[in-house]
Formats: sequence, structure tokens, C-alpha cells
Amino acid sequence: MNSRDAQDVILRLLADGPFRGAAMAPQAATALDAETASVLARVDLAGLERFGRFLCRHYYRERVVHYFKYSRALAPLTGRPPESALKTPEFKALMPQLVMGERASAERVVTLLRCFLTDDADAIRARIRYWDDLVAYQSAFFLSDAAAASRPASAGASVGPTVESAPRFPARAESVSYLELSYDLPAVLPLLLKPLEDIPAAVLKPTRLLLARSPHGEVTVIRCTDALKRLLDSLTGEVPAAEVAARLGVDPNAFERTLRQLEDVGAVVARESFSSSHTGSELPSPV
Amino acid sequence: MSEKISVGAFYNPHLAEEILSHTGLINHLAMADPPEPHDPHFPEVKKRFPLLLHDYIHQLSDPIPPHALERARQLAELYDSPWVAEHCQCVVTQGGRYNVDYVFPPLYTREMLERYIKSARVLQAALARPLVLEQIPRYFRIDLDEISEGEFLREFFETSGASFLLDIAHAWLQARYTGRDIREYLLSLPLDLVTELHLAGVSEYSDLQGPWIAPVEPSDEMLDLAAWAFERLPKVRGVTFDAFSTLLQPGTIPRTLERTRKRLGLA
Repeated sequence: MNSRDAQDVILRLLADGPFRGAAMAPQAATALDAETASVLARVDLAGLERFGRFLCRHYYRERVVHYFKYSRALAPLTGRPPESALKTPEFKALMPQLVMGERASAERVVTLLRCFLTDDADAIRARIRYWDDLVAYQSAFFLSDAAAASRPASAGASVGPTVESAPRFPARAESVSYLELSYDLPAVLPLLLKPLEDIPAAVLKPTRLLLARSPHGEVTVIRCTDALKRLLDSLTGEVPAAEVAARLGVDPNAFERTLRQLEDVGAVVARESFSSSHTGSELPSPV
Repeated sequence: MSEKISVGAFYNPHLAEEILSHTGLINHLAMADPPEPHDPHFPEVKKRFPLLLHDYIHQLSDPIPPHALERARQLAELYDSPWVAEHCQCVVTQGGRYNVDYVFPPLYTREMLERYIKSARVLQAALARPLVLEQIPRYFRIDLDEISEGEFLREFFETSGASFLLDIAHAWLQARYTGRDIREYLLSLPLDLVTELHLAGVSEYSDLQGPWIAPVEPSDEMLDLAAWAFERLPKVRGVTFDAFSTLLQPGTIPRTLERTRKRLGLA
């Protein structure tokens, strides 16, 4: 094993709680592959364990601060800064089971966050009627990041499907998810980050959002009309764009431009180019 | 930046108004993240301060993909950065499955050194700007090095043409967690090749059962150490308070820069 590979073993030991736990278990020596065992034998195991926990807490804190920024801004009113969830005994107990960047781990953390923010929260809901929508929105964002990070790609590198693995014709990307809300949340989100005198009110109105990751891991949220959802759901990867446009009864040129924009935000993938001319913007602005 | 030694901090958007009100105290700003598209203060910040690119470009242990080079080139141009910084780190596994998403140093081996030199040459050629590399502390013992950190860094700088960004708090932590005398450790590093000096504060972390970098003011001990090192840096051009976090409190940057200027004789 060269030193770059040895470095990878150490990085996995730091990032993957269950792997680290298994490697450090008393009976592990016989179960480990020879390369991992040879690295492990030359590492301060207690220090490795402490640093792994430090990194885990740091990793999720960074994401909670970023993706739950609206709940953070409201913390003086709610008394529940979301990052405090990471200081609870429940999170401490969860840490050995977490793999940084893994979707399943992010779901466990988000479940903990949701409980922290919404359990026994009637007093908060009385003041912030869209509290549950807000938590759901931030949770969806948080999970989208995890899905991006769990893709096999280097940091900052392409995290979308490779050209070879993409379907021949346009398909809805795996990363796409929809979020159904009771309130028109996007309208109030910017207001929540300004100095609050009164809690901004949101209109009670069913609102669907589309979350997608760009090829470089950037998560975009846009309002999703019924027409846009129909369009995305019609993209199976087995039918040429022009044929889908014909089936939907829309102008093929406009359809191709829309596909290109959806591809840019990561909502659509395809191995073959849709068209040679892709200009204009017909998508709603990101939320 | 002028020939005079520049004293600066990191741009923290939540403290933008405070930063803009201390233009006499702050000579430059390091940029750890690209500006937010709707940051109302960035245009004025860009107008008033020289900006240093100090973002994650790519780990030099692996080939830098074209899009990462292009992103770095665009940011360097946006900032008109006199030099660009990367960290002596290796944080993502080959193939990208695992990422510790935090600075972590490479194993100091000949193979790794060759990788770093190769990537540094590519990066400098793509950006047409000097590169500085910041050393990263190791918290726990790993007996897989072939050469010392100081040898690794010196050969890297001398062969690649890059220069050294010495982080004094990182050095303090490295010495502490390897049980070395800090001044003896500092002398093992290529101080003669330092372009920029970072200083920062540390706090206790329960997970580590000890100190680590934190967005707080440096202690007097840390400033004394920075002053001791500063006297041994013949080519240093910039001193930067390395704190970038939403946890950074108002007042911390001005107080730290005033103390730094006074202690280093840069008032």
C-alpha cells in the first residue's frame, strides 16, 4: 500500500464512525484486512477516536448552522438554537453510528433535529404558524447536502452522474425531491434573516418546492408548478426530448431550453445533448 | 499590497459593517468563502481592501480537476489576489467516498511530496499567481511519516516555487500534541520562506480533551510567540488574524489587530 492509500485508511477511520468502532474493537485484529490493520497498528487509537468525534460534531454543526439558519435567526424567540441539538446526550450517543456525508446518517441527525425543534412546540407554533413547514424546508435542504456528499466524487468535483452512467435521453435526476408545504414559505424566508420586530406572517397556501443538486453539489430550490412536476415526471431517460415535448404538447425549442436549465441545476440528466442552442431562462428564480 | 507589512483579518460577512468602519486598522482581508450573491457590503469591501484568496481550492495530494482550477482562477481575478493560499492537507479519499470536511495534514512521505509539488506547479501555472501553503497540525500520533514536516515543507517550497504561510496557532498545537518545545519546533520549519503569518486563538474542546483552533482572540502567550517568530521571518509580507466563523463576536477583530500591531511593532 502506498502512502496515499494509507492516508485514505486514516480518513475513513475519521469519517466513518461504525468503521472506526469496528476497527478498534478488541476482536478487530483478526477481522481487519491486512492494509487497515497495518495502518491502525501505527496510530494512536485513543487520539484517533477523540479526533473522529471532534470532526463528526464539527461536520454536523457546520451544516446545521448553514441549513437551519432561519431557525437560528428565530432562536431568541423560540429558545431553541438548532445547533444545541448537537450538544445533547442523544447526539453523543448517535455519533458512533454516523458516517460523515452519508444520507442515512444525515437522516438520523435530521430526525434528532426535528424532535429537538418540534417536540412540545405548541407555544412556538402559536407565534410562528409555519414553524413545522420551516423545519421541514430546512431538513430537506440538509438532506440534499448529504446526498451530494455521499456521491463518489472528490470534494468540489462533479457529484452528479457521469456522462457514461447517465441515461441516453433526458431523465429526472435522482437528486430531485419535492417538498409540499402548507404555507407560502419562500415569501417570508428573506425576512427571517433581517432584524425582527414582528414575526413575518406567511400566507396559508399549498406550495410545492423542487430541490435539486447541480453537477458540482450546489443545492437549488425552486417553486415547482404542476406543469414543471409533470414535465420532470415524464422524463424517463428512454424517450428523446422532442418526443416528450410532442407528448406534452409544448414548443420543442422552449422545451429544450427548459431542459437545459433544469440540467444546470441538476434536476435533469442525460448523456446526449438536448440541442445545439440553449439560451434564455424560463425557470422561476431560485428560492 | 504595498511593500510595508500588511495587517489584516478574514472577511466575516456578519461583521461587515464593523470591518468597514476600521479601514485604518485593517490593511487586507482574506476570503475563506466566495461572497454571497446578495451581500450588500462586498462591493464596498472589495473597493477598500486588498483581498487574499484563502478558499478551498483543492487538495494538492491529487490532480486538480479543471473546474476547480477555473473556480480558483475566477476567484483570484475577482479578488485580484496578490497570492493564493491552500492548506497542506489531504482530507478526501481517492474517489471521494470519505471526506472529513476539515483541515487534516497528509502523511509526510516522498510519494506525497511529489504529488504536492506536481499539483502546486499546475495550480500556479493556471492562476499565474504565487501560491502560499499553510501548515496544518496533527492531533494524534501517526507513525507513517518518512520525513519530518519541516523537511517536507522546505522541499515542497524550494521545488515548487511556492512559499510558506505560517500559522502560529497551528504550530502551537502541533508542538503541544507532539510534546515538543514550541520554539524548537518552529525553528524546524522553513521560516526563511514565510510570506504570510497567521495568528489565531484556541479554546478547550470536550471531544479533544484539550485545546484547538477557535474563533476567539489569541492569548498573550500566542501573541508573544507570534512576535518571536515574526523576528525570524525575513520575507514576511502579511500578518492575518485567522478567524472565520459566524461565532466570531463583534469587537474581536479590532481588538486583536490592535494588540497584534502593538506586540509586533506594526502600529
